[in-house]
Amino acid sequence: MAREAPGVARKPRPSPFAFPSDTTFRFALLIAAVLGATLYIWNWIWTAVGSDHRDISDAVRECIPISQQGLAAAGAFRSCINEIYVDSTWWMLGGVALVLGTATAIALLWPRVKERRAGFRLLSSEDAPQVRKTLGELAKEAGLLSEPRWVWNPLGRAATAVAFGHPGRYVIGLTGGLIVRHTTDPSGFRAVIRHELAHIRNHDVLLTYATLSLWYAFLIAAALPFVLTLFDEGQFIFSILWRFLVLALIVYLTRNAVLRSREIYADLRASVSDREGALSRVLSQLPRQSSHPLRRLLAVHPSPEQRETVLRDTRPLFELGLITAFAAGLTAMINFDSVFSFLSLWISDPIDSGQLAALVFAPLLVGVVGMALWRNCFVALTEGTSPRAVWPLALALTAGLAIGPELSLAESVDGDNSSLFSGLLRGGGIVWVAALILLVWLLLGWIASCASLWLQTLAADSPRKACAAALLVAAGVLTIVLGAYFTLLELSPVIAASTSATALQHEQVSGVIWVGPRWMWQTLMDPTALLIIRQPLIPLALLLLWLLPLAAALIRHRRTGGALWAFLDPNGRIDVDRPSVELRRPLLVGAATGLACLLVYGLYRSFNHSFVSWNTRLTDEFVLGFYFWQVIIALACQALAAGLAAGLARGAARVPEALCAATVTGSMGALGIVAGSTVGRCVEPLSIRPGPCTWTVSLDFTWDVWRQVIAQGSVTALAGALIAIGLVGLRTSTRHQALEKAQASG
Amino acid sequence: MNGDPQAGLLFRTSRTVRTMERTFGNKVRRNGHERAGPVSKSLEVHPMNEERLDEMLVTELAHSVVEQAAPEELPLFSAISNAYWNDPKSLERGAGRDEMLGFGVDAAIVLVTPVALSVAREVTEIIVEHIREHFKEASKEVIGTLVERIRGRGGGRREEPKDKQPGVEANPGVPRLTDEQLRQVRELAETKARQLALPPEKASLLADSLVGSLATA
Repeated sequence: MAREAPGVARKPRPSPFAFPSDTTFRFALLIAAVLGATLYIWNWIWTAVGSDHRDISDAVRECIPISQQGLAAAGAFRSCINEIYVDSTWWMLGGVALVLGTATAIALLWPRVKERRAGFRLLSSEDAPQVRKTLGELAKEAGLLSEPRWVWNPLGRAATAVAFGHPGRYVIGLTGGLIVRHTTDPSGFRAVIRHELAHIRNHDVLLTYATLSLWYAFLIAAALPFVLTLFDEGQFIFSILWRFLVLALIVYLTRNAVLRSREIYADLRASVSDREGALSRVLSQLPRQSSHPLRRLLAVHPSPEQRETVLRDTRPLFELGLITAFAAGLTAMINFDSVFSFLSLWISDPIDSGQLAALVFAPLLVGVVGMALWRNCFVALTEGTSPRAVWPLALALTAGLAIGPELSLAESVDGDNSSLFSGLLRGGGIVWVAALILLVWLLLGWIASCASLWLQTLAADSPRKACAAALLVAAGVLTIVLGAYFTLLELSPVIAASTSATALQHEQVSGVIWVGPRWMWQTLMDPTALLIIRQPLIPLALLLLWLLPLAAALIRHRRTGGALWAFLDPNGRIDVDRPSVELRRPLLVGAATGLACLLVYGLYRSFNHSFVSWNTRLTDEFVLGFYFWQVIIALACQALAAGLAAGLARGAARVPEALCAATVTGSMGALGIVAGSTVGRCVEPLSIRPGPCTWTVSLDFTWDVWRQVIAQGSVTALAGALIAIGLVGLRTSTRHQALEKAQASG
Repeated sequence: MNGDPQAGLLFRTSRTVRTMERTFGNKVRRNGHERAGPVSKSLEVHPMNEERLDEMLVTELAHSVVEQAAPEELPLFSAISNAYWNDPKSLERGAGRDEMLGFGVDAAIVLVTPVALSVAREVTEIIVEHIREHFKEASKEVIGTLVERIRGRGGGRREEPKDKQPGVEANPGVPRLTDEQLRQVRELAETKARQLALPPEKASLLADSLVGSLATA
């Protein structure tokens, strides 16, 4: 425990162990990035040495006739091409296996090599019986499954220790100086050993050596053979070399940053059993370090001053820096392309490939940023303050996501300047970037709201399960969003073609029925956009987005007061009011607006039945236009429902309640569209086309309409909710001002 | 102790040794009698040679210094000196490293013994050279005598050691270093100790102890 002036009561320190640390996910992101680069490199090596260029050309020539059979044969053509490159996938998988195998060998050998190189030898009971006894007691106190192997270097002059090894062979190396400290300063000796044991307990040793072993294995089993194939590449070498160096720099700096953070966690874990305040004293005796930013960046330990400060006040550990968010985005996207290309050789649908590639990186990204947001909301709750705004994080993360692909090894070959960042530099990609910022901001905002609601609801009970569920959903949503987004970006030329087709369709339909401006038609009826939003997982994700936060309303019994899990020190309490979360209210608002929506459908049908000629109503263009307006009505009703629900809700529940109401309204609206034709055939004043009074609508059509209305409606609902929140905020602020004025005058 | 620094040092030494006895078992007491054990034993096995004799002189000199400057390290002396002689140059390599998953940038150097060994080695080289210049053929005997004298003066023991080596005759004609030479040795010792990152006060104490051992041997 940190030293305090006697008699000064200290506030219990929020425990950084209450939630998993984001640093674990940062290590995992590095691993994913390195493996992604391996895929690319071994694909390259296959092209350079493992394939016969003439055979490939011949095979491609054989596929060309298939491509001339029109759009229907697109799948067959793709399969034909993939067949040619299937060998490369085995090289890529083989390369990954080779790197992983080498990494395992390095990880297994490393402790032995380190032991020998550092001059360590076994610390036996004969060497120092009392020291061995103390070490055994400390290992038991740390709660380790098995005691580490204790070694020492008699010539080590500083009083320090180091942890290394791997599961099953964890080693703690002590210096002669530290052994002497056992006699001269027993509590200082115990503080240092507790710190090292905490590294093992916190899994730092495993993560650090796994990451480093993988990096060295990558250098041996991927980078080295890669370099050997580059000698005849001329100018291209520079393009690949600087990207490779950037990857190395990211790995190195992230490793250092994560290690610095893990040191603080080890200190805190050690401080829990350190009743004498020895750790703080030992830290104060460490030599002061250079405060030069570059030196700090390269160091693997925080400065002793910083370590002492965090021992007293753990709150800085609950913040996520903007640079960290940026680096996480960068690391996630730096080899996204390589994974996407690899998956494309096995999966014919590019959207599926995109989403699977995103599945590799998005959960880890949410692990970094999402976990940090939960931690930030947690500390805000314990302090009674507001969590930090998410938009700066959203901007930093988006910057990383946008720049990452530019730095990928794959980009050195493609060089087609189709990446997000190069598009932005050319001035054309601003809409894409703005869309990404918006998506990321909304997602981070959702994570923060969810965290806030659940933390307040559970109060003194641990929120780990709720946190895991929320981050799982967020990971799913980000996977879908990133997968769809980057696939759309990749397919932007196709979208351009489909936009022209939609413009033509708008022109044709407008000749029969007024369908508003062209952009509106294109937004709602574009086939590529519909293909994306009708992905089956999208409605599921949209449902979970409001179901998960509002499920907090179902918790009946809550406990406030003592919360041992939340603080490092005893006597920590969480006494917060239950948040205002309602499930019934948005359901009722949604149902009421849904009924209103059905009424508007009826009126619209009746209007068309009365005022549009029979012949016009029989045309396909009219039916398409009629469908379009019904969708517009459903979307407008969803926006209204969301606005009402958001206005009635309180605090962090506003947006989830709005989405809930909008989903109910949208579902009723979709049902109205689907059932309308049957109703019209049974009730003459509502009929558009004649037919028998029977249910003829297919289940597929119903499913398509519901997905479209729910997905597009979530956008209008969000807009409605934000407007309502803005208006409520404005009214509250006006009231406050009036009250202040009245108080000032009275 | 009546303000006598030597008596104060002896008191501190005996108190520390008692603490160390509790920590390290009876090894401290054993070391009191066997402190030159490893070197002596090896001398029994191998024929006496100059290199071993020099090594013995360094070890005895360093032990004498540690007795005065860092008595709490005595129980580890044997282990440390063995490790030192296995790789004498290891001391010159990296101190103050920011090691991954270590405790931090190495704290101020606290262990005196390795530094004492390294300093003693450097000083011994000069002394041995000086002896060889003066005594030529008889230098081996003179060095042997010096070893015995240094060994004999530590811990209040002045009697002839039981494990005295055959062929190493006591030679009262060991040349005494002049005051100027002792001053130079002290300067060299302190500089070397500081080079090895020993804190100034400890470096000074080490140099004083070393010169004291040589002056009274």
